[in-house]
Parts: sequence; C-alpha cells; structure tokens
Amino acid sequence: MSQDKLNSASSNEKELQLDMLKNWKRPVKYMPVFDYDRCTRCGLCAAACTWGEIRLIPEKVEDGKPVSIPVANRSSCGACHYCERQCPEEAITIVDTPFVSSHRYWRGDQKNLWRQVDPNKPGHVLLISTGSDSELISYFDRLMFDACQVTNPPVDPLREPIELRTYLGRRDFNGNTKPTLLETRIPILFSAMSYGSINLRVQIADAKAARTLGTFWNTGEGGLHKKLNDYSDNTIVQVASGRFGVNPRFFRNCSAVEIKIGQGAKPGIGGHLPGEKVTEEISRTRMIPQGSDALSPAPHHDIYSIEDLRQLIYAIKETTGYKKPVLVKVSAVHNIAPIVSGIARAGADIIAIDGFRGGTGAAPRRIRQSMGIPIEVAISAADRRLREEKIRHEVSLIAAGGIRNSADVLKAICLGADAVYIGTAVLVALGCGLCQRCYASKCSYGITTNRADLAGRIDIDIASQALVGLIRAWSDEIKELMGGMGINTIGSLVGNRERLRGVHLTSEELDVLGVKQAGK
Amino acid sequence: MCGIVGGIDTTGGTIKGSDFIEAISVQHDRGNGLGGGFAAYGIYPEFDRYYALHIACNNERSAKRADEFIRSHLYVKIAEDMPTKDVKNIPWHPLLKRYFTFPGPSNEDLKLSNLGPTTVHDEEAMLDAYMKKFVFNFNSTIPEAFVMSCGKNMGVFKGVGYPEDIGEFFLVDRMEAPVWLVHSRFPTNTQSWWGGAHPFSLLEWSVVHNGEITSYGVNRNYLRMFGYDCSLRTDTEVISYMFDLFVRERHLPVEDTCTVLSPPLWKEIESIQDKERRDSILQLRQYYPQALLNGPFAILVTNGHEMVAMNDNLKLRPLVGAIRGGQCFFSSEECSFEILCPDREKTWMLKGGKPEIVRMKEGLNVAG
Repeated sequence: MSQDKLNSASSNEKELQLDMLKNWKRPVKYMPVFDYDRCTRCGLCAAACTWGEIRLIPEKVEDGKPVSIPVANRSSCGACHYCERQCPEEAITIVDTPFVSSHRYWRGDQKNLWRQVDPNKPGHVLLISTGSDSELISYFDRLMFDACQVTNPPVDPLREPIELRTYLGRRDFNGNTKPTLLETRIPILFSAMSYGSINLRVQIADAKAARTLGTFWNTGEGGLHKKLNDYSDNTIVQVASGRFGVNPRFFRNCSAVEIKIGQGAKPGIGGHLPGEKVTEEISRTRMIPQGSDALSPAPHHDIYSIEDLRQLIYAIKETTGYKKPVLVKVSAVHNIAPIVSGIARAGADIIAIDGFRGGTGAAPRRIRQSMGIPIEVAISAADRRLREEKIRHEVSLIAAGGIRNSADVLKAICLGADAVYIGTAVLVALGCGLCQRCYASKCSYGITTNRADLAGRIDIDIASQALVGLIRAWSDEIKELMGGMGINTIGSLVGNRERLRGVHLTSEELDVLGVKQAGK
Repeated sequence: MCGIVGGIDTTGGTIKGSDFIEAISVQHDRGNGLGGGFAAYGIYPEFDRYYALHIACNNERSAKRADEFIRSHLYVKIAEDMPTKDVKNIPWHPLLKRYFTFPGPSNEDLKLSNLGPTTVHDEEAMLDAYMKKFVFNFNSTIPEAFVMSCGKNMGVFKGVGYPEDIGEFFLVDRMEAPVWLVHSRFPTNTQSWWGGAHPFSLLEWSVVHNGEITSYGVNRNYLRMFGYDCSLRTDTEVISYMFDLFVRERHLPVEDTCTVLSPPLWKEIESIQDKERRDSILQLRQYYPQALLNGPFAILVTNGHEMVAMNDNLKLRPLVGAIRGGQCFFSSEECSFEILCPDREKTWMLKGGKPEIVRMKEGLNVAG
C-alpha cells in the first residue's frame, strides 16, 4: 500500500502519519514513574532533572493558582536517580524497561547503531563516560584471601596496631642522594580528575579530604587552580600531552608530578574539552583562551619513544630540584611488563598503571569497551617483570582502574601494587548515580559539570566529609582483612600472592596472576 | 608450635651437646616428631679453613651425582660418611655425607668465574659468594639431595624425628661447642622432610624459628632478586638468607638488620627523641619494607660469634632468656633452663620486637 493511500484511508478520522525518521527513535530504557497519590505537585523533580526528562503539565486550578503535574518525557532518562532521591515525598521510582528484541545477539547493539545513523544528527562516534561496564569477568571477584587458623593467630585490629602507612618513590641504593618518598597514611590515593571534567568545588572537596586523611589528590591534566595552592602537601600535579597549566606555580605547589601517558578508559587516545566549557576560570587555570577547545593530543608531541620520556622525567626533576618524585601513568596494555620496566629505567620514581575499567570524563564507546587489559593481570605482570629484572624494590607501583571496594584495594596490593588510585569510587561517594554521561556536562549531582547553577549542588564540606568517611571505612575494613591474615603492616602484603587463592580461573589465568588454585 | 633452644658461652668455654638434647626433650610436646635439629659451632677446629658441607641424599644415585658435582666445583680435602648411630625411632634416614672443601675444582687453580653480580671486595667475600652460589646451584640441580650446612668450623645436624632421637642419631651427645641452636618441629605449613627440619643455615649463619612468616611471599620475592633461591619449601629459610644478605653482603650492623626485619611501629619511630637515631630507623623501615618479617615468630640466629634472639612486635611466640656466669641461654620455655642452667643468675622474658644480641667479644651485655 502506498503512503498516499494509507494517509487518505485514515484521513477521515484523525490524520495519521507514518514517519521514517521515527525508525531511529531511540527506545526508552529508563524512565521515572510517578506515584500521583504521593506527589504534592511541588515541581522539584522537574527543576532537579538536568536531562529534560521531566516536564510539568497543567493539571487544574486550585485556590486560583494553576497546579502542574510532572510527567516523564520518555526521551532522555539515564537512570541517574537524582529526581528519585530529591523527591520530598518519595513519589518517584526509576524503572528499567528492557529493550525487547527478538535477536539475542544484536540486542545490545541495535540501539547504539540507530544512534549512529539517526538523520536528525549527523553520524557520530558514540561517546561515553566512566569506566567500562563490559560484562567481562572481574578477576578481583575470583580471588579469595587467606586467613589464620590455629597455626598462627589472627591479629585483632581493635586491640593491636595494624599499620597502613606507605612510602612511595625510588629507593636509590647507589649514590648518596637521599631519596624523596611520598608518605601516605593509607595506600589509597585519589586519582586524576581534571578541573574541567569536574568542577572546582569537587576538586576542593577532594583536596580537603586528602589533607585530612594524609593522602594525595591529583589535579588531572587541567592545571592547578590557584585556590588549591594551599593543599600543596597533598597534591600531585599532572603533566599531560596538552601541557595545560604547567607553570612555575604549578610545580611549586605540589608534592609530586605525574606525567600522564595514557588512561585506562582510552589508551592511545587524547582528550577534548569543547570550547563552550572553557570558562574564564578554566581558561586561566589551563592557560588557554576562553572558549577555545582544549585538545590533548593522543601522544605527547615530544615523546615518541622511551628515551624522550626519560628527557621529560629529568626535565621535571631538574625543574623541581630533585625534591619531588615523578610519577608516570600508563594504560594497562598487552605489553605492559616491558613498558613498565622501561619507565622504571627511564628514571620514574612511581609508576601508575590504569586498567581498562578506569574512569573517564569522555571516551569513544568502542575504545572504552574494547581496548586495554584488566588491572589485575597488568599489575601482576608488571610486578613480576620488575622482580625478574631485579629492580622491583627501587620503584613503586600504583594500581588504578576498577577498584570498587576495600577488598579490591587489598587484592591489587597482593598482586604487586604499593598503593591504588581511586576515581570512580570518589564520585560515587559524592552520590554519583553512574549514568555514564559526564561528557554531556549536565550532571544533575553537580559533579561533572561547570555550570555554576549545577556545581552549586555540591556542598564542599559535606562532600569532603563523605570522602573522609569512605576512606576511613575502607581503612577499617582493610585492617580487618589484614588482621584475619595475621599481617600487621601493609608492606608485607605488597606482591604477597601467597595470601591469595583463585577460584573459577583457568591454569593460564592463575599463571599470569601468579596465584595458586584454591585448595592448593 | 615449635620449640627452640640456644646457648652461647662468651668465656671461651664450651657447653655439652648432651645438655641440649635433654633441654629440648623436656619441651617434647612442642614438637610432633616431624623434625628436630642442632647447629653446633666450633666443632671442626682442625679444619677451620675449610667449608664443612653437610649433605643429605635420598639414595646412592643422588649421592653419586652429588659427589661428582661437589668434586667438579670444589677442592675436596676430606670426604666421609657422617658418623651416626642406629636409633630405633629413626626408621629411615637419607645418606649423610660430610665434605671439607674449598672453592675451586680439584687439582686445578681456583676458578672464581661465574660469580654473581654482587660486589666483592676481598678474597674472603669472593670465596663466600662462590660458596653461596654453589649451594643454590647444588640444591636446584641435584635431585633428591640438599645441603644442610656449609659454614666453616660449624655444622647442622637435623632430620625427621624428635630432636632427642635426632641428637642421639648424630652423636650430638658426644659433642661440645661454645654456641648451640636446637629445634623441635611441629610443622604446620609444609609436609615434613629432612631438608625442612631446622636449623636452616647458609655459610656461617644459622637460624631456628618458632612461628609462621605471613610475609613469606614478599620476603621470598625480595631475596630472589639478589640470587637467593628459596627451594627448601618452608618459610624459615628466608631468615637465614636475610642475615646473609644484610650482614655479610651489605655490611649492615646486626642491630640494623634486626631493625629491618622487625622494626618499631611508625608511631614508636616518630616518638624517638634523638633525631639521628630516629632518621636512621625511619630510613631502614622506609627502604626495606620487603625484608620486614610479619606474623608470629620467635627466632634465634647465630653466626658462631654473636647470637640474636628476637620476637615479633606483638610478642605472639614465647621466648625467655637466662644468664649463668658468662653463658647466655634462650628458650621457648623456662623448663629447659632447669637442665641447662639450674643455678642461673637471671631469667627474663624477651619483649616483642626488641632483639637481644649477645656477642662473644663483648661478653654479656643484655637487657635482661
């Protein structure tokens, strides 16, 4: 039947239109459902939602005032749960409406493909934020800790001291220079999140918490805002391929300098902060013109091989008078072991490895989902290679990317890390609903946005208290775990695979992790 | 659970082996018959230039290969069967050999090639490094054979059985020595075998240990980087290698080595008033976190000139000391002192993480 006939056949009643453009209309995945008996029509939800999912429509007139009722647009909910949490009457539930496809293999990709061919928008690379949500197994989940029974006593952390203090940096046994080590009271550091990807209020909360806890926060590649000068004892500044905000003040007000080569979520990929997000403050901090795109090239244009990295490491050491350790952060990739060995020999004091679960403000979806390797195997391979080359004791390793809880922290340490970086966990601690849309800069929680009205949703003191609470809780849990293993200082667990056993892993996987099968 | 006893005579006199057999036998219940052993120093004065190799081989074939291996790498002054006595409670024992040797192939000049990457400064250090490498090569290449001890003028006598039976078997009751270590084993980590009995020894250092080293994985990884293969399937061997690495190779004082192995808590370090001492201890702990021993332990370590008695920080294993005249004794239980030194002047309990170091030359200068 032709289009015309169809139209005319129905034209008697109401004009019905079929529209090919609707072929690409995205099916609704999540949506708020309102309990109108509880709803008081206050309208807070519509104000809270930054994604345009909730609109208010007139319902009636009461006492001469119009009353509006919230309805779901069924267009843009990403299950961030902000409206649900903010609703004073608890009248909202976010529901998951699974996309029904008869084709099991294609089920997940159909929607994404439609987004890419949607004629309303030109074909585009799919963007995504946070770390990979791939259904690949987590090795962390398949590793179990040892515990003391009979032959040696567990240590009770409520009665005996259990020490988490860690020193990171190069132990130089040759020569007389006294090494500079980073002292952290807990082996957990806040990972790099740049000013731009998150707003200044979140960075201040991060820095405050790091100071209270005696650990470090990391500026990310967006430079160091002058308001954060005071936190220099707890600050790691980052030099990335864009070299944003790298100036004398930046080097003065830090404890260590990190060279970012790669990021777990997007190995081999640069960054792009669109010009409209480069506000006056961000432009000052990054030292770029207001409104211009902040582009981080994929490679550092002065690092095309390991010897170039060595030059940059020593350029930074010269700049900082050899008083500040230099970290090098790389993505966990297939060849990570020799890469780490090369970085150690190039003079880095601390090497951070970021696994494929590591977070990002924005990355191409295909990169995030299919590039890089898990941190568990990467840290284990790096630790083993450094030992085989007899230089493991000279440098420190930091594991990053996919650390969700205190047990993950300790497992990463047992696999060879001296400490870990956490990033996503920091955001979740501030309330983040993990809707994976940080790139949109509309974060309803006010975390990954620089819109002043939204950033105002973050209370710096409450946020830093939440972070302090998180790390204190994790520290206590780590002490419980260590006590159960009969170990009272964290250093005795670094690379101590004897205290781990694997379940549901192949012999090859166990071999790479260096862990024995449970029962052995 | 294990039982340990040690003694050192600083006056130049000796202590009878039979006393130590009796002293460990009164701690009978601390062992379960799956391991016992003795280390005695100053027992081969007539051959004190030579490295005394005590070798155990499971069968004639391995003994033959061991003999060939030794003769191709070392000059052999004397090769003999270890004098032993049949004992009812030792139903089986490996072939036990004793060699007095010196580095260098037989009938040839010393060949000190293939030394490890260690920096050696003098001839003695070179010889020691060669012997160390020899022992690790021996243990890894000769199947069903291992080196019990390889130091000069000392020897380890150990095996599977109660220590009193092992002592009788090796004729320890006929020996006299100024320095002794004794062990009774109740294995909990690994299956028992002759090589797994204590004391563990490398060159002049020997150790007996009661406890479990939960940091074993870290310590072993660290030692491997410096050429120490941990092949004896038990955690204790790392302690003897640590002393060899820090004291013999790196020339760290014994006190500092003890600090590395069992340092004070960070808070305790911070509260030290003397800045120089505080910085030095802080640095030792910052530099060598992989050498720190974690878990419950009581250990006695000696090189024949000095004896170290040390407990873990939390004092999770018993260790007591006693003094009589110029002699100093350490034991898991005080009952052993009733045999060794019933007329002792002093008995004291060692504090957790505070090592006692007794030196031949300095005489008795202990906290107790």
